[in-house]
Amino acid sequence: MLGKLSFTQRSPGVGELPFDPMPFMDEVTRYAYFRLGSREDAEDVAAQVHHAALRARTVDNPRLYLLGIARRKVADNLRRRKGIRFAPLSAADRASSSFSDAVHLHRDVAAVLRSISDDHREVLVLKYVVEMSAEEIATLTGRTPAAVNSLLQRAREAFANAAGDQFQEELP
Amino acid sequence: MNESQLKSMLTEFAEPVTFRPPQRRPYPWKFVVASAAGICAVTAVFLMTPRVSEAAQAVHRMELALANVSTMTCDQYIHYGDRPDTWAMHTDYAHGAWKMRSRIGTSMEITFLVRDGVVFRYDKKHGSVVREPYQGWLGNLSSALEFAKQQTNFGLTEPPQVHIEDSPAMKGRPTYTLVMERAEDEYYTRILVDRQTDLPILSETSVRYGKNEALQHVRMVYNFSPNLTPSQFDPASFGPPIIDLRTAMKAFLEESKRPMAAVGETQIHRVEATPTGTVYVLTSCPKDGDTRAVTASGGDSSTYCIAGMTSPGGTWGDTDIHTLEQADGRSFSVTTFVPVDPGKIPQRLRIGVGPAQAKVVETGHATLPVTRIRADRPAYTAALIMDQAIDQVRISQESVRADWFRDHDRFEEELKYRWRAYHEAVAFIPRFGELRVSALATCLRKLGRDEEADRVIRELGPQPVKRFP
Repeated sequence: MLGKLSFTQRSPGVGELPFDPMPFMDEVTRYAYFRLGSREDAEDVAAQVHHAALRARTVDNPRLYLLGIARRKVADNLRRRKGIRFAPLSAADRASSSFSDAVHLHRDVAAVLRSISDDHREVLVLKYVVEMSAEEIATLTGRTPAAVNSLLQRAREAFANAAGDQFQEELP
Repeated sequence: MNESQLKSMLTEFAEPVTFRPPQRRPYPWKFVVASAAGICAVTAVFLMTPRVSEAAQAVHRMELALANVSTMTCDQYIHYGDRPDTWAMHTDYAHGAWKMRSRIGTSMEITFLVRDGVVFRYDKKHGSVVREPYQGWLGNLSSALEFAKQQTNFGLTEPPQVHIEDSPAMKGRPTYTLVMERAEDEYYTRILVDRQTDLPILSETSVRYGKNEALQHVRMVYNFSPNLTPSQFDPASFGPPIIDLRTAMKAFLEESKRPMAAVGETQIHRVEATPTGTVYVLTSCPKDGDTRAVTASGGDSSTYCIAGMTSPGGTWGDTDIHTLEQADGRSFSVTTFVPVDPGKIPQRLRIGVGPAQAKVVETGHATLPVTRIRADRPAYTAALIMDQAIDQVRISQESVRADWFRDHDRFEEELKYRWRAYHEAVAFIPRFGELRVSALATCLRKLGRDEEADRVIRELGPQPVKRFP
């Protein structure tokens, strides 16, 4: 058993954290939800990320740092189970959304997301939900920016194909 | 579909998924009024927050919830500095009975079963179960509350500052975080609490044992109301026959009344040799004395080195039952000698006796017959709670031999035993091998094998641990 101990140094307290993780937690939760398809699992990952953030010492880019942790936690979660499910959101969740036909949209998008690969889901959520640049995605995922752009293009096409549509590039 | 439409679909799909800030739960007045006396008592003892703040109320609620826990499991994880988490202890609690599996994953794993004022100590490696009255040396185990306090306050005697932080939901359940700090003690603990039950989900504490020690982090993960069965708290489930410590002590002391020899005020009770030639000498001296066996030499001029000196019960406490001082006022100790030439077992040994100090001073001696035993240790070590101390002496044997050859400038032989010492340490606890690498490399350099020394340090020495992420 552990006996009486003397404390000569502590972990950083909240007031001493190099950054406040709260502003990024919605993005972390959404990222995890896109990867895992389960609100509960996404919240678990967010909780773990939040606690890991409290151990942080020096962080240059808090968002990248938190998403990096989330990425590892998601990978751990995926290793423990097969596939993703995109369970229906609760009535409260749907009511809080801002669009009119939330139920149908959710059902459709969930089906499309289920049908595309995990790499494609990840790059889509990072680009369009978390709104990261190709360079940031490259840093996070260990790819080159060119590879990210290429993957992104394939992901958009895969998403459009699964939605029964055709992806068309917008003119600059 | 174009990029704008795709983005719109995905953002709208994701919009409802947000980080849910936990909701404040109304103070459970009904529960608190019924237990007002308990609250006051617990508050005074535990955190002693001077004003009834929101954080203090949360602490009270958690204490009340813990005090009413009937079954619980808890896992303790520890990491030092940058090292990864190590699962150190698993605890089961049910209706006043405790089972604690400690030092998990090491050769020193011990399971303690505490119930009805009795503790059973199961040593899986040595296949022994020892029963003795519980005298509190595992801490106050009167309730889950007392256990949780000890896992988070680490002997803190003054009240820490407590505040609440919001934290994300865990498995769909709202939570909050209690943070306890005390600047004077540089104390820091964080407890994630289930807002619906007021029970802790996990706690994290950082500690440092000494100025030059790495920072240690202790994480406790709780699970309440698990399905635990009475058979899990049955000492017979361990398997080996149960040794009653008081009965074994009585028999041991009775036998000790007939020592093999007396040298001054020191009595020599047993001289036993294992098949590899390791010799254990059991001696006793008056309670205030400090003499014991300090030298051993064979009639055929074989050379022995001291590998260690141990006393009963040194690992877990110094209550009367462990030190054997209750019965006849004498202190017992065991000195372990290893022959420089392993396997050579003389018929008789000259045992020198003297004070227990760094410099060997022999005040008398006796030449005694050696009893050969089949095991790697004397039979009394299980009942005297000495198995683990003997293990620690045992793994130092090869280093002791290596030191002897080093002191006699026989570096090739030293190297042979340095390697054996390294492998013994790795087999005991893998990380212990790192502690042997420096001496190994020094020996290689003395033999002019610098490149090999560098490689040994590089490949077998302490490895940098990658930070996550």
